[in-house]
Amino acid sequence: MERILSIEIEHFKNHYAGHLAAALLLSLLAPVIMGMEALNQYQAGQILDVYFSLLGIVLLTPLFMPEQNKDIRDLLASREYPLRNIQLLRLLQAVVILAVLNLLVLFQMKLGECTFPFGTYFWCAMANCLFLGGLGIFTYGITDHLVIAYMIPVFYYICCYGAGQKYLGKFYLFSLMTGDLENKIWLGTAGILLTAAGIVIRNRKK
Amino acid sequence: MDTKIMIKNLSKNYGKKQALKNVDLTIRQGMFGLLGPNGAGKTTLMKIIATLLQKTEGDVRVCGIDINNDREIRRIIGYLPQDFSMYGNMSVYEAMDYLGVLSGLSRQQRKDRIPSLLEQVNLTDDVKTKVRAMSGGMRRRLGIAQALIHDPKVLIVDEPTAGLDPEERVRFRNLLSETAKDRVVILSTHIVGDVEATCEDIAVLNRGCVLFQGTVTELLEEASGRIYSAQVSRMELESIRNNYTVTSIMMQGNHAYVRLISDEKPFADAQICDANVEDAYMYLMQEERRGK
Amino acid sequence: MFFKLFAKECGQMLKSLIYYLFLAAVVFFYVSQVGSFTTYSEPLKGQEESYGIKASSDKQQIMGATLALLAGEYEANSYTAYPVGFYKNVVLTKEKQEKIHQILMDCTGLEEGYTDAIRESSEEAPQTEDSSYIQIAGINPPLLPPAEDLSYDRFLRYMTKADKIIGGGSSYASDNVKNNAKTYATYEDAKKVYDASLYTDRISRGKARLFCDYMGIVLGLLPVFLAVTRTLRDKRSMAQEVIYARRASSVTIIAARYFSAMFLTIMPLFLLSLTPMLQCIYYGHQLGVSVDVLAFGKYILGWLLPETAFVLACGFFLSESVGGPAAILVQVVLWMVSISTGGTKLVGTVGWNLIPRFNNDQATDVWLSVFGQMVRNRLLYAGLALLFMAGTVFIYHMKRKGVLGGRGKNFIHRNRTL
Repeated sequence: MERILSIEIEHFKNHYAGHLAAALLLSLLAPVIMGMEALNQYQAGQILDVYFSLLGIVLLTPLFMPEQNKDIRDLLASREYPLRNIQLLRLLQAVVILAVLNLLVLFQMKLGECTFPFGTYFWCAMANCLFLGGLGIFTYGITDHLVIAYMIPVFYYICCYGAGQKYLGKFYLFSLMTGDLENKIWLGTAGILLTAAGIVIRNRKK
Repeated sequence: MDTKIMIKNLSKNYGKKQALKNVDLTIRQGMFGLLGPNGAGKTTLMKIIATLLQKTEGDVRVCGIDINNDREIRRIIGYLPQDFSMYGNMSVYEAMDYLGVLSGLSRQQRKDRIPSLLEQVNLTDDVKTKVRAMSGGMRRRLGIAQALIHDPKVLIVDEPTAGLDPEERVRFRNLLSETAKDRVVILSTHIVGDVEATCEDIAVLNRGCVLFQGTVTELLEEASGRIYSAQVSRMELESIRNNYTVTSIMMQGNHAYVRLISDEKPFADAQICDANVEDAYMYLMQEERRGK
Repeated sequence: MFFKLFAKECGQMLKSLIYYLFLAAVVFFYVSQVGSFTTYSEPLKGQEESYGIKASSDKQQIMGATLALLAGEYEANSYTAYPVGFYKNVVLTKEKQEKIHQILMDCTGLEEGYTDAIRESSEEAPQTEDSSYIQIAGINPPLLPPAEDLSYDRFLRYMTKADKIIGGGSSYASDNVKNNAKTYATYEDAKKVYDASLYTDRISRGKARLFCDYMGIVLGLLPVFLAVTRTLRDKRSMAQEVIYARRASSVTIIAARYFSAMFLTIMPLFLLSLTPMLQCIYYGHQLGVSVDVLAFGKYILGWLLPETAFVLACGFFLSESVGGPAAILVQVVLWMVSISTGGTKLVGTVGWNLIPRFNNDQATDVWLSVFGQMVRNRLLYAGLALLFMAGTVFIYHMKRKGVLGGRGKNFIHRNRTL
């Protein structure tokens, strides 16, 4: 337990502070630029779909950043404690932070007397974040290139703005705006699979 | 224009930490060795000469050009950083060509110089090898070639032999000596052997101060008459170590041959002997510690 | 030295994975969005389908409809606004409500009883064959008659004030006021639009605008990845110092990187525009219209080049000074704000947007009306791009001299390795 805690704290202090600050800033800025009062179900969904999803990219994608340097990676990989577990711990940390920020945004909207199903929307927002973040982690695993890992989910997001629905079908990100919940199950599942695949690929490559 | 580097009263501070203290050095044509322990300020000094760091105080002139005139200085210096690398996806030739362009060489100059330089550093067969696939020694040799591409008057190499195997180290030293025929080569190292084998002039740096500047012979003179060797038993070793600076120990069964530094004969069966560079270096370090 | 280095940088980028991903994204976006060539349909006298809807040009009607809207929102103290493109329901404080009240009084001459004063529009909707009305939102809206001495200019000033009180992005912003009253287009209207597309826009200009509208969406963001990759490449390969110590000036080094990225971003657009250009020429040939052959080129250079220049410059600057992820994040936020400004209005949203929208290959008159804005807008971004590049050169130069960013030998390792 102590070991787990120290891994988490170390990661937090050395690598994550910037990303966390950015994510927090985005969450706190939300009511300033968007208005979170008296929204109906679809308008509230828009905020989660269009705005909050981005936090998935910010918080999840840089999963492998601490060992971007090949020497550091080899050093960590040679230790008794599996690198994969360290990565999973980091992932857990990111997801928890994401969940907290998600709750923060949802509470803000509730305080603003918006009408939407709280629990459902929580999971829907997480699904979107997991999908975009998973896409990033997967790309990172394949290419070992953080910038590309950011670019792919960002481009996916742009596509949803454009022709989107027609091409992306069940994986269309902005479905809460039209009241469609089924998509989120697909997105969430795909996100988890992509994340898992990303971690496996990353650790297999030597 | 004279091929000479003059350093007067040079100081460099990082915040409150003083990395160089009033350094005075004159570096002439040929190989110049900068010797000192890790953290002595060698890299800082070299980076200041290479215009990669700003001096805090003092005066530095490279071949008569003030160090603040970085465009002119960069024209006449070649620099090999300690951990030299290039874009991994470039081949040896591409890397040379790219850096050649950055040094302002024309296409013809590059065409002429690159193959001969690569031959000099023995990389002719590897022109197509990607930088990321190169071994440490190959990379270091490429580093020398790139630093020489514009035929600089001054070549600055920072710990070039660290991490090389013994054979490569010797080859590398010879390569450097060859290039030093008509230019200043400043070589920093914490390995005494590198300096002993190649440099005429040396300076010893510790904690930002110059402890010694002169020729190798002069360095040896500093310590001459103070180096003793003796055969001692294992039991005595501990107490000798506590009382003297021991420069080498060779174990042989129950006995040990030791070399140590002492102002006068330490014990009866100790024999005075000629100092080598390592002894002299250790002597300087010891004197500095004492002075403190 | 610049041109040699420029060529080398281009060669490097042409060998990098991220450039091809970028190209794939641009091509995918082109194929999925711009799509196939559609011809303009010539309106016929007495055709069965309607000639479409247009914003009313009747000033009395605009004023009436806008005031009715304002009165309704005032009485409910619930204003709809899209300050950054997202819906925002604005509730005003007592003082602000009083200010709106004052505006209403000045504009209508009435102190209260606005609801009773609102009357249905007098104009009748055209009847279809089975004599039912076609109902479309905003068409022939209810009106609140303005005071008799209220000029249109003064009305606009009042509305701008109201928009400011509400916080911007409301139906009273000067750009939006015209859209509060809509009416059916007549044959003459439709014919005018059609003719303008053929003879003023010479077909290709309208198509080029649509092309730039779509491609502007991707180019408002994706080039930042090229900039960040290029900047971080030095750090990643630990090649910084070797390059720092060279003779080339900081301006040359940074400019070669910047312009090669710009060149390789813009070139594919010229290639992509060849197909629609040829289609325009063919279509023009059929109709006997002389097509502006250079339209796509001009629009790409005037519209997309400044945008790309800005995005790249911002990317180079931020990744050199703060770090790669920060540059990407800032650009994503800029993109999102810009893309959602104007809400659902996709034609003629210019202002100071990084990504101006003109999602229509006709509407020539709207284009001409926003053209001045467009020119100012693009000049602004071109200027900002220059400024950011100057900043990048400065920071690079300072890092190179060791004034910024690091100390001693561990300087590379102390910075983030990314």
